[in-house]
Parts: sequence; structure tokens; C-alpha cells
Amino acid sequence: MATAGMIIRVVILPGILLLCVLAFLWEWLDRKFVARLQKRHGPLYTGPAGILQPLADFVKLLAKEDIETTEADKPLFRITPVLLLALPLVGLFFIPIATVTGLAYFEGDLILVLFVFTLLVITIFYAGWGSADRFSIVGVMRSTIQMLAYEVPLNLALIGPALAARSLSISEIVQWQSANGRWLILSQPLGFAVALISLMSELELTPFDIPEAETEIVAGWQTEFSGRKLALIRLGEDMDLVLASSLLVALYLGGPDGPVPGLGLLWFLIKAVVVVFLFSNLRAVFARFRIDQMVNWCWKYLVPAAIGQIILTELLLA
Amino acid sequence: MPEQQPSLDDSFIIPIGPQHPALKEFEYFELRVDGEEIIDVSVRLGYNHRGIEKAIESRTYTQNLYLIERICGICSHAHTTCYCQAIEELLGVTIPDRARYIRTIVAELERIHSHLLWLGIAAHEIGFDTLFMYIWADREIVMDLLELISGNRVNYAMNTIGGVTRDMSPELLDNIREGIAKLESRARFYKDLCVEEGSVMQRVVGVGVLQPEDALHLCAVGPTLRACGIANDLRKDDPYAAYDAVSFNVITYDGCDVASRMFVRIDELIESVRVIDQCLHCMPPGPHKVKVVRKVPSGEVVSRVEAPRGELIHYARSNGTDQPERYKVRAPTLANMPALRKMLVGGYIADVPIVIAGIDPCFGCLDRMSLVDVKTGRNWIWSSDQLRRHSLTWRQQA
Amino acid sequence: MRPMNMEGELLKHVFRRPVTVLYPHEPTRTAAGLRGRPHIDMAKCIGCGICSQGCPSRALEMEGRKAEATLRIHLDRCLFCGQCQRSCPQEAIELTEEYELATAERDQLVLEFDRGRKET
Repeated sequence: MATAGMIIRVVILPGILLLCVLAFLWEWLDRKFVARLQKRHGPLYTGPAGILQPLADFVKLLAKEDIETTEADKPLFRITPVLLLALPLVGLFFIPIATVTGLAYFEGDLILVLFVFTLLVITIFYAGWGSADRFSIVGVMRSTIQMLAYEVPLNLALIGPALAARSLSISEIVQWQSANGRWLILSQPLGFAVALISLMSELELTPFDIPEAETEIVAGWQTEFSGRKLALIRLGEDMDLVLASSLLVALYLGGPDGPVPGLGLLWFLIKAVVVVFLFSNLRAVFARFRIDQMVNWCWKYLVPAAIGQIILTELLLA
Repeated sequence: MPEQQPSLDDSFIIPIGPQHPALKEFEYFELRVDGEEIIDVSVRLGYNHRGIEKAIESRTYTQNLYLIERICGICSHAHTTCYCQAIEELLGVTIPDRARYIRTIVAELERIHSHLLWLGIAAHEIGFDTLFMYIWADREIVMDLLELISGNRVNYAMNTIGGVTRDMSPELLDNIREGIAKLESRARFYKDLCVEEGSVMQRVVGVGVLQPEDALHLCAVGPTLRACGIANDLRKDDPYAAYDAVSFNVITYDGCDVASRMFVRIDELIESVRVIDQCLHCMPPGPHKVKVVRKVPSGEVVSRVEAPRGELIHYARSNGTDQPERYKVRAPTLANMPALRKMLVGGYIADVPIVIAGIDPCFGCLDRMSLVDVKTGRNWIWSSDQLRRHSLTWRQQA
Repeated sequence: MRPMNMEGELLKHVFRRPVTVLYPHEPTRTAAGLRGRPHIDMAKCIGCGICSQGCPSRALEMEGRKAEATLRIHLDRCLFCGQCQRSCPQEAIELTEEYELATAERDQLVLEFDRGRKET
């Protein structure tokens, strides 16, 4: 019985099926909100208010021709899109979405999720390298340099909640927030801002969409992918957005905690929608940085801010 | 320009073009890079060559009006103004004053349209899509005005030899006044926005630098030249249409970079609004065109106008029939190409789209091809038949 | 430097109507005097042929001369420039404001004007 329950939870709710639905839903929200900021309609005709548009795009890509160049490194070229979808799913299993604990939890799963982010960038590197195309190579070089810039502030900022809750398990941090009746964003707003900006850089949203700058290097590391592989990459990017927003909600906004207990999933979704709106708004209001400016800026402003937040947290705890 | 043989070294080559999302039309820039820095640029032009100069020779002067209009979609009125001025000089005809003023109004509206379009494209090139959407939504104001005036949003067909094709009613003048007032306030808003927004300024300040001596030496024209502090504007140096009757400033900035070019264009937009205001105010009554004969007496003439992108030169030679004997167009983008090459070297790959966009390239105007043999200095032009035969023999031998 | 300067303008527009015109579900706005489909009033036409000689893209063809002339306009060659309207000495040609001229049948792109019937 326990196994059947486990299988239902992993595959359907709050497992893979729910996460895929959320991935499409967040992409629709992001596109619609950015379109409204730009005085446009966004997706409009597929389904009511265009809500089925991301699913339609996914299905269309699945049906398209999948071209593999002769120069490409076949194993790398084929395995990396699958990995790009699988890695965020692994991370999401540890984040409490509907219940107070994730599907799995252990002391230190926060470090595992941070490692998933690093693994994602390494997989992107292999994807671009395996494509053996000039634009891909320039794209992954930029992606790797970008990782050097945002990795440190991201890790520093996300250690803040762990310090406050005295635990490295995401589930325990969420439970600490509901036990103390206080969300961590109120005591660590600076850490929240640093984590938000670093995650935007990880998700490759403007102003940090340098690795896939459309006007400069066509599509960066995604240039050679088409058909099914591109569909998996796109779904993987959406899943990445779900992972990033869920992580922020769990660590800073109390996870599935809300005024009415028992409706954990609903509160979680509302908070995640707010975080997605934050991402979309920031994405629409800046121009793209250049890679040297981005590294400069991250090390000059983000890292000191993250360190400052940790010092403040330590002082408050002592 | 003569094609240099690429040297065989192991630097990394990034091709920009012929098809590329950064270019709205196709040309080929071969960048030799070292990491992210550009060491050398090799330019190949001619992908957009359509044989217009040859086609002009087999059409009458009236039919050529519409062909020359379609050399470029954004500078179409500038091309026809230059053409009509050339043919009117050959015919010895003076156009009515009202026609001169209407030509000026449409030319300045076209300049506003071109600069707004450029601003949106520049925002898109640096990744600021929101600004791009906003600016192009405001561009609709000027396109609606031009549709009211001429009946079409581009390719206005306003010019004819001997004057303009349509007159302007008083209600139309009021509509224009309202529209340009709105455009001026939006232009000021965008200028303040760009100056205050750090992420925009850091992409355009100090990027694509061209020293004033280089600009003069390489014959740059238009806003590219005026952004180096040199006040060359054909509307003041060699006035045509009604420009001798209106007062306006020639905008220059001293930065010599893409940011200065951006500010030159925004300020020129605001100056155009002033020019249109003055023209609307002192529009003289009278006819809007005069009748001309079909056959143009023999002669040759050079005519120049200040297109939105710079100095545009047309040369015409007639032989007494109703078809031109030879016609030559020198578009401003061709004059800016050597300067562009100088600007790209030493920059970053990330700066390439905004620097290319900075000279406001119009490759449709650019491609008029003549062949030069570098060894003997011989200069000739081939018809499409000869070109096709040469390419077939060359391919068979290869 | 004031970053995020556009934010106020952006948020203002979230709840307003977008500027996109949902053509063809909504009609689009056009100006009076739009240069659309050409129409010839054959009662005024004298068959001089000036219009078809002046057409830049050979879209206007005349068969016959003077009183027996019939005119044919090829819409796929027409530039809608209005030269025919300007050069007709009897002012018989007019560019109407009709612009939705796309069709799936090739032969619908040829407009015939002859005497007896107004047009096909």
C-alpha cells in the first residue's frame, strides 16, 4: 500500500504530472504578463486566453524533423536534452509543494539542490560543445563565465535560511517557518533579493540572457537542436523556472503554509505565482548586459550584498 | 570594395550573415575573433543587388518614379525627391512654392518615421524588447499621418516631376499638428528614459568609437558623421525644397560613439517637428504641380538630398528621348561602410549588432555593383546576361 | 541614473487594452483616401491608352482602340501607385478604398472593364 501511495505521489501529485502542468502554466503566465506589460495580447487563441499555447508549442516541436549534423558528437547531443529535463525534476522532489515535507528529504538536501543548478550548467556546456557549431561554442563559453559570476552569490544567499533554521534540509526550513509563524523574507530581505537576481541569471532571463542572445549569436547553445530535442530543452527550461520559484517560495515565503491549514497546495501556488510575476516584470524592464559587465557587476554588488546578509543574520541570531 | 584574401591563421571566425537575426537585410560580415574580442572584419556586399540602375534605362521618366521609390522602403521619399529634382533641373522647370513645402513636410515626416524605427531596432539589438514594442507602437502615429497624406503607409507616391501628386486640406494640416505634438512628447520621454536607464547606457556609451579624423578620411555621412562633432548637413550646406525658408539647428554631439548617434537621431526627430510646424504655418497657397513635357533634353545632372541616413546622390544623363540613358544612385550606407569596418575592429562580439545598427544600415539602398580589377584598375559593369554566362563558365572550369 | 524608470509606465498598461488590433476579427482602422482597388468608369473612357502606357508595372492593358477599347487590370502586378488615375484626361479611373483583395483563385485577380457591362 505504501508503495502504491508512493508511486501515485511521485508520478501524479505532487509528482511529475503536476510539475509538468505547472511548467506549462508558469510559461503561459510569464508570456501573458510580459505581453501585457508591453501593450500586447500574448497568447490568445489556443484555449481560453491562450492557456494551451505552451502545450501546443511543445506538441508542435515533437512533430518536427529532428536534424543531427554530421559534425555533432552524437552521444552528447542526444543525452543532454533528456538530462536538462531530468535534473530540475530531481531537484523538485526535495521541495515541499503540497505537504510540509518534500517527496524525499534528508539533512543536506539543500546542498543537493544547489548542486543540481551547477550540474545544469555543466550539462548546457556539454550540449553546446556536442553541437560543434560556432555559435554554440560562443554561447557555452558565455554560459560558463556567467556561472562563475552568479554561483557564489546564489550559494551565499541560500545559506541564510539554513543558518536561521539551523538545518540544511529544505523541509525542515519550511517547518521552522510555520512553527515560528514568521516567513524568512521578513528577516532576510536582502538575501531574498540576491537569490532572486542570481536565479534570474541561472534561468538566463534578461538582463542575463547573454548565452542565448538572439541578436548576437542566433540562439547560442540551443542553435543546433530541433524537433524532439528542442521540445525537451524547452520543457526543461520551464521546469527550471518551476524549480527556481518553488525554491524561493519554500525558503523565504514559508512553502505550503497559509491561514487555512489543509489547503497547502493552494497557498503554495499563490506564492509561486507572485514569484513568477516578479521574474517576468524584471525580465521586461532591463536591456541585456554584456558578459564582462555582468561578471563585473555580480562581483562588485551581489557578492558583498550576500556576505552582508549573512553577517546580519549571524548578528541577529547571537 | 575589393575583396581581400583571408589570411590562413588559426583565429576563430564568426560569420554574421548573410542571414542573421541581427541584420534586417542580408550582407556578409566575417569576423575574426580571439575569445570575445574582434581582431579583423571582412565585408562582402552585393547580396541585395536587384539591377535597378539597368531597369531604369528601359522605362520612361514617369514609370521610373515608382521604380526609384522602391529602392528603399524607409527612404523612399528621399529617393524620389532626389530624382525629381534631377529631372526638373534637366527640364529647366521650377516647381510651385506649395509643392516645395509639401515635399519638405513629407520628407521630415519620413525622417521622423525612420529615426523612430531605428530607435526601436536599436533597443531590440541590445535586448530591450519592451522599449522596442513601445517605440513601434508610437511609430503608428506617424504612419497613420502619412497614410492620411498620401494614401499609403510606405512608398507614398507623393512626388511627381513638376511637383507633388496630392494637395493638403486644412483639416489634414490640423491632424498633422496634433500628431507631431504627440510624437515630440514621446520622443522626449524616450530620450529621458534612455539617459536614466543604466543597462541601456552601458551598452551604447564608448561602443563603436570613430574618431573625427577617421570619419572625415573615410567619408562617413549623416548622423554617423554628426555624432563625431562635425556639422555637415545637406539641408543647410546645399538647401533644396523649402529648407532655405525654415530655420532649424544642425544637431551634433561629441561622443563619437553609438550613444551619440542615438542622441543625434532623437534630437533630429525633435528638430523635424519644429521644421514641420514652420512649414504648416507658412504654407503658401497655389497649385501643387506644373505640367511637364515627356521628352527630356540631353544633358547630365547630379542631385543631392539629405536622406535620414545621410547624403544621397543621384546622377542622371538624358539623351532627348523619354527614357534616361544612364542613372546612378550612391546611397548613404555605402559611404558609411568603410567607417563601419573601422568601428567594429577592437570591439566585442556582443557589440557587433548595435554597432552595425548604429550607422542605420539600409542594405536595400546599398547594392549597386560595379566590378574593379585590383591588378589592372579596370572598371566595368556587366549586364545580368553577361554575369550569368561568366558564372556558368567559371563553375564549369572549377 | 534611475534604473527601472519604465516601471510606472509598464504597470499602468497591464490593465488597459493592448494596442494590438485583432485583425481580421476586428476591423482595422484606415485613412480616407487610401489607395486601394482601381475602378474605371467606362462611360467616361475614350480609349486613348495613356493610362496603360504610363503604368510602371504593365498591370493595365488595353485591347482595341477608341470606342471599342476594353481595359484589363492585373491586380497581382498593380502597385496601387495611382499613376493611371492622375494621367487619365477624362478622370475615369479612381482608386477606391477597398484593400482586402487577396483571393485563392488566380483568375479573380484580373479585373475586366468593357462597354456594355460595367465590370466582371
